[in-house]
Amino acid sequence: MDEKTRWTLFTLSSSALIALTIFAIVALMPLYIKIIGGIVGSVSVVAWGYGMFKGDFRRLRISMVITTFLFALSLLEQIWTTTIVNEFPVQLLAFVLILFNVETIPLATSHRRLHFSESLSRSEDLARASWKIIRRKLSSLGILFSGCYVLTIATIYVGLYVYSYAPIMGDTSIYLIAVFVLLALFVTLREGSPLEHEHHRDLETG
Amino acid sequence: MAFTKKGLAYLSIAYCFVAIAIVFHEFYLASYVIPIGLLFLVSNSLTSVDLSGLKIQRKLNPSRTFGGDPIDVTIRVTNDTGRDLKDIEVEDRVPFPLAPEGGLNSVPVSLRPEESLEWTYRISRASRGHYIVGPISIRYSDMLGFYRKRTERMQDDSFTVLPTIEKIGTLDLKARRVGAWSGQVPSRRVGAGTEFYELRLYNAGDELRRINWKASARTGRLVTNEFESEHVTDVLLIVDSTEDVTSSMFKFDLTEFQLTLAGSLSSQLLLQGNRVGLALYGEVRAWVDLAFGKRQLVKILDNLAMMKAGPALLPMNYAVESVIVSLMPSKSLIIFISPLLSEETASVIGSLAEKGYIIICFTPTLERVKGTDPKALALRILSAQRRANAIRVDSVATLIEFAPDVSLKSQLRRQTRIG
Repeated sequence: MDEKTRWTLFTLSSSALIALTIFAIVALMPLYIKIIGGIVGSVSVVAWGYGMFKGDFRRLRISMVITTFLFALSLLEQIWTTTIVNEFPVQLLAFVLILFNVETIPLATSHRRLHFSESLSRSEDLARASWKIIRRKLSSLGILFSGCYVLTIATIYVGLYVYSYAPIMGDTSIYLIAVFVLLALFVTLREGSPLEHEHHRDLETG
Repeated sequence: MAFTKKGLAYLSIAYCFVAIAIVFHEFYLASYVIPIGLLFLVSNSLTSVDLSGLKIQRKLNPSRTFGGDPIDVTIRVTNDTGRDLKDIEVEDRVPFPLAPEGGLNSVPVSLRPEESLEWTYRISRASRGHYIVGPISIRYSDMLGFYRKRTERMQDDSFTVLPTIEKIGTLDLKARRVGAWSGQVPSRRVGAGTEFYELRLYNAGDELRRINWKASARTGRLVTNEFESEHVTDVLLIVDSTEDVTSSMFKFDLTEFQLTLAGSLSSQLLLQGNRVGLALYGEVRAWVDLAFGKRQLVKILDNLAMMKAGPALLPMNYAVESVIVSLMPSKSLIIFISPLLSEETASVIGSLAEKGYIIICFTPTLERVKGTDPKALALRILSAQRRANAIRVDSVATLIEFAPDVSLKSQLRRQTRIG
């Protein structure tokens, strides 16, 4: 399989995923904005596909902005109509998919040039190494984001289960406190990150 | 180490969800923070970067080139850390104002233990000079790019783009002082050579082919030809590029012209077996001791490559004259390459001539300036000053004027003997 075909397949799979994301968002919208959402979403999918194929960061960003806007619109509509609880699993899926798609942008923009730019020698090695990175990254991101989705849903259902036994746990403030503690924990962990303890020795030249 | 824009954006989104959850009393909205929080947690805890075992090698091919030839830079990254290295970006800094014209100088790299990756990029269209490639910067971040860090490996490599040199053919030099080794400079002494020197009476043991039969017939006694021995000599090239005004006075690149002349003369003089040295005087000052051979040529060309025209910090008589007098024996040959714009140059040449050095001064020809506007007038004044300097130099040294648009070889051929 040549480089162009591989990249086209990568573009098509990525576009399918963004289409699924937009479908998940638009499906939750009421009928009167569904059509507009569908049209805007299609523009986003086209921009995404083109941006992926060309490694064009600007188009990919535009597509992400449109998708996020649709997501926000859908979320606001659910808050307004108090249907957020019913639609939560699908809405969360859309949110996680948006985050996943964001992660594929740097992959496309930084790796595309390795497959299509003119390189003097060993370009096959670079291209092979690049595909390996893309495969590894996509699979690890897939596992990570699926895990995020499942864990969030599990947390919510565990919360509801606990609530049925201890109604005090239904207090929103408890969840908010938990969330703040979680964020603080992340920041604290960052301070002790292994990245901070990186050390290196001077370049050895041949 | 700092949050990237992406990290800050994610944190902002998380806090937005929390804020909206508070405003609408909707705890489900707060739960959107959980995936973001998990991303931070996983990304942070799964990232471990230890670059101590990362080996980066760079090769430049060739490390010396004449203008126009490209330089291939090969980078080899080897992971000797003993663990996987993921998503680091290795960027080799290309010297300003050059840019990679084939291949990439920045490549994302992921390597397993003991794995290597090698790639090459090309730098071309480099003009004369000395360039330093590097340092190599390594950018890495946590798994999802919420924090970013960059380190640099300070080991640099350099390449030199040498000035172009022309083949100028054999130089017919005269010198009052010659070395012990045989060469091509007449020594004014009897010995093995090709030039006729004098006649003398035949001695027993003289070669028969050296007998001058005509003179013998005339005198009635056997007479032998004596030849002038030819030896090598010491030559010091002094390139004067001290004046800034040169660019507006000459319609061509004077510095490059002077460098081509200096490089070509050194090459030919060394080829003829002479001991050649170099003194550069300008914004960059350099001194290359007298020596023979190809290595000396490389040394001279390396120094010429670094030359920069401009005002000098030290006066010429201190920087050049004092050094020459202490290092060069009297009667040695000194070749000046100078636009003769400064009176100081003319006085240094005069002073060296007084000390017994043989001086040849190459100077570029200057087109006659026409017009009466202030700029033309200023140029005419400078031109007149230069002419006065040239006349002064001509009285104590051999002055050779060179045109930039004619080949050096044909111009030097017109000078039957220099020195």
